[in-house]
Amino acid sequence: MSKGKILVVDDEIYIVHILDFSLGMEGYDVVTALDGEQALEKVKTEKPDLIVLDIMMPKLDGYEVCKTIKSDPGTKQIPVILLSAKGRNVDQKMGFDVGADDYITKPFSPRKLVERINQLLGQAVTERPASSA
Amino acid sequence: MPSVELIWALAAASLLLIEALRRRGALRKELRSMRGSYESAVARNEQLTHAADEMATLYRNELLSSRKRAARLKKVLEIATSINSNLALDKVLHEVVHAVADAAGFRIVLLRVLNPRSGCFEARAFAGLDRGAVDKLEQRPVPRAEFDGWLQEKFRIGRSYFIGHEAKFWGEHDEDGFTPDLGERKAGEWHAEDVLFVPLVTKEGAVIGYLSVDDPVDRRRPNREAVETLEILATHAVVALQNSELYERLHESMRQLEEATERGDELNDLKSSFVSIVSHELRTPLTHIRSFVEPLLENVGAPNLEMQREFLTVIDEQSRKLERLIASILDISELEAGRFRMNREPINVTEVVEEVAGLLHPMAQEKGIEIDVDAEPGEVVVEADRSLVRRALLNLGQNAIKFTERGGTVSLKVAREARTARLEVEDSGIGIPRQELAKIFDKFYQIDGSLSREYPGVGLGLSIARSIVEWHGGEIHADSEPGHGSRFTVTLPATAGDAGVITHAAWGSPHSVSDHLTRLTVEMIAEVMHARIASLMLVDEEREELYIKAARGLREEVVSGTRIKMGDSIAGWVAKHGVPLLVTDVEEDPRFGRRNGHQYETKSLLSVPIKSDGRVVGVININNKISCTPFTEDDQALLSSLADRAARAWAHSEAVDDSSERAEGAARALSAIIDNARRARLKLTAGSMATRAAAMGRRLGLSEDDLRALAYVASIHDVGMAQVGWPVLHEPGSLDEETWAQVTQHPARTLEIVKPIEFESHVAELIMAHHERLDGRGYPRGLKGEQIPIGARIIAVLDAYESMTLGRPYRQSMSHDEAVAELRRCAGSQFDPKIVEAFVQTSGVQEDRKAIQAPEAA
Repeated sequence: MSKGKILVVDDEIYIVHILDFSLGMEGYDVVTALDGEQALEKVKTEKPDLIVLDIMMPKLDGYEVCKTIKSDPGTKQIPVILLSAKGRNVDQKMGFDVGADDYITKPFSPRKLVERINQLLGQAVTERPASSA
Repeated sequence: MPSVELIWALAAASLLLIEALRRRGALRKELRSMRGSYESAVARNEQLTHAADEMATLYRNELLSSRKRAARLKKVLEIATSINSNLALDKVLHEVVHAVADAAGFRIVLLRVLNPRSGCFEARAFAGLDRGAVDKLEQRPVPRAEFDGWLQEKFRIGRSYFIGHEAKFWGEHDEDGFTPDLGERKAGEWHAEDVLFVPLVTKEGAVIGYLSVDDPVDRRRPNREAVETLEILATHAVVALQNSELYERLHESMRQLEEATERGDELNDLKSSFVSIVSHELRTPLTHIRSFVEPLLENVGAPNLEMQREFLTVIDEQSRKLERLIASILDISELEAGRFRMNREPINVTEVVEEVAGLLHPMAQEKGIEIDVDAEPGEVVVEADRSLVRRALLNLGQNAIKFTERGGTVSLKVAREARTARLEVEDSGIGIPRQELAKIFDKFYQIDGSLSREYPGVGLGLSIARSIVEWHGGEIHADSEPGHGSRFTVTLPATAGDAGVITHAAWGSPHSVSDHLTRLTVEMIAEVMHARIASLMLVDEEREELYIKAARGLREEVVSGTRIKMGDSIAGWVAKHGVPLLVTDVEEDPRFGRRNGHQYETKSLLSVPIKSDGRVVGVININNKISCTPFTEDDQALLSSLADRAARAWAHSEAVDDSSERAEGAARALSAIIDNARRARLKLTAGSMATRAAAMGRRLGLSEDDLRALAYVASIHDVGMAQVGWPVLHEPGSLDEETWAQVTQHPARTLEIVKPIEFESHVAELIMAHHERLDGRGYPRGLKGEQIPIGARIIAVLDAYESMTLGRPYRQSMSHDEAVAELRRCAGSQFDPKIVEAFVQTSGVQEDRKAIQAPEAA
């Protein structure tokens, strides 16, 4: 049984590939997008439980995508993990400013990312009834 | 660790930035003083305007009956104060002459302005003349000397001059001039050959033009009022002319400042974007490797071989990508530092192009792009380093493929030209916006935003290509039609000494110096002296004339058309007297002022004789340093030395009983010096080591002969190092024995290379001893203390300073202060303490150093 649906957004096909593999092994369903615009479409059509989002992408960057998701009442509860090569503090701060739930810098460990996703989804599940009450 | 190289490359970028900022500071200062003088001129102008306003009111009341005249005067005043461009200047002058016509009552008015460059008064504004007359006047500028002859006391009225026809001043009728047809005139009336003019004189007393009038409305000889009106209007013309000149200078400095600011900002931007781009580009493959390795490790021993093979393929591919990236960053830093080993030999570029097409094939195939090779039949041979040229072309080809859509075409062309080979890399890709064309060869340049993500790269490929091409003395440029593709054109000189040098074949030389050697000589002079223009003139003894044998930076017609009598002009003077001549500013030098200006458009120049057996056989001239600073006596010492070596090289070529082998040796020496100078140019620390060495030597009281030798050796001492190849990636001490042995041999290699053109034993001594240490622990001979010639001790200090401030890949560059501290620390052991101190003193004032006029030229 699927543990949930993860949207992986990155313009680097190999990153999408390895996350598909790692998350698939862990029992998640994975949907993918290769740029920001595609990501927003997939958020609507696929209604993922969590989003792994690259920052530097063509068309629409990760900050913009995250901002859009977090300002839409229909999608703002979806946890977003930013995954980026931009490792400076200001980059991270900007990520949290646009509403990201976590920020992981590349190069990254797929195992740790999966653990983080498990954790976030666990929290999200327990928090959901509380926030809706 | 790639990060060390990165830091190093960054340090290089910041050096550039600092230099740009420094220059910006100097410009600001200049601009501030310019603004001051502009403001005072505006204030002066306002005063004048005010005074003139009062006068105009006076005239309006007392002299001028017509409203039209008053309006015209007012218009002149208005425009004269608001002058802000050349266009406005012409408008003011136009108004001035028409105001003169109306207010002073002359039908014909002409205004001439002195062109300081030509030394002639040129017609700029007219009233009452038809097109034919205007054309005639425009074609006949009045030389300054002629004008000065008119300014005789007997003709003067106030500040004006009236030359009546009775004076018979003009002698026989001047056919080129213009005499209006005034019809019948009675005695006492204005005569057709009468002339009334007023010089346009600035407050400082400089004549900048004159106004002349003809055909008075009242048909009378000029009266006092008419002359006064004329003189007031002349004042306005002066103000307008001065304002426009000031404006232009202000405008020019403004533009320079803006450019420098822009450049500084750009460098800043480049630097920070370089950090983010390079870190991103390095991290991407690293990310892939790390994230694919982890699951592999977790699955060691698992039966899923397909997955393992797939992941390992990705890791392999990405680690290669990382390797390429690091290599290209290292390449550019080495090229920048001029430490690439260049192995110049005749190569067939068609072959190289075909090889490059083959190397590009896999990359092109992946995108379904076709590669065309269009080469001229037969071999196209140039003297070049094969692997460097291949590298440059490969970078251009990869760039073309990267920016070309699936299914497009990339074509490589080879064409043979007179003394160059032309290589083109053309694509049918997305093209380059016009405003970006100038920047694409900049280091770390990338098309910004979305494009750089779609077409990733570090932005070093084109920069590397340009460094390589320029190092060969060639040129590279790009043109493009956005949406229709781009074309990169590379021209490579056929032989080492051929870059841009024009030789003049028509004159038979009494000295049978080969064209190749003369070209090499001119090229060497231009490169080592860093001069925009270099020319080599030879003496034609029969006709007692000098003619240009070879030149760089001069137009072909100047090269073939220039003949100078012995004793005439600058080169003639040098040939006649056999001593060098340094002119820091031609325009300000009363001796040579305007006679040369039109020919060379020159400001600073240096001319030295070439002697053979005590006889002057030619003259070498260099004009205008590329750095735009004037030549100094240190440059003169260096050029004299180079001229002596050129003479030496020719002596081999002339001697009948000599084998051609020695002439070839001389040519090789000149080529090696050219390459060395170009390599030194690529270093980020500007400024010539030769002139610095000479300045230090001067301070330490060396004789003029020693200074010449020192300047020369300072500019060539590392010629031999290029043959050894720089062990750039290793820290000193980490070199293997074999490499170290080669390094210690480089002074001997240098000597071997320049030997065919050497004749002074102490020059050889300096070359051999510049890596010796005061404590005897240097190489190659382990000389101690005073055993080391003082010149060699000077070069040792300069060399160390340069190496420390330039940086090495294994460590960052030092600041000036840090380097000085290090020199002082090693004073007494490695360096001579008194030379270290002389260095500190000269380096502090180096930048403000003013040029000194050549004493012997007086």
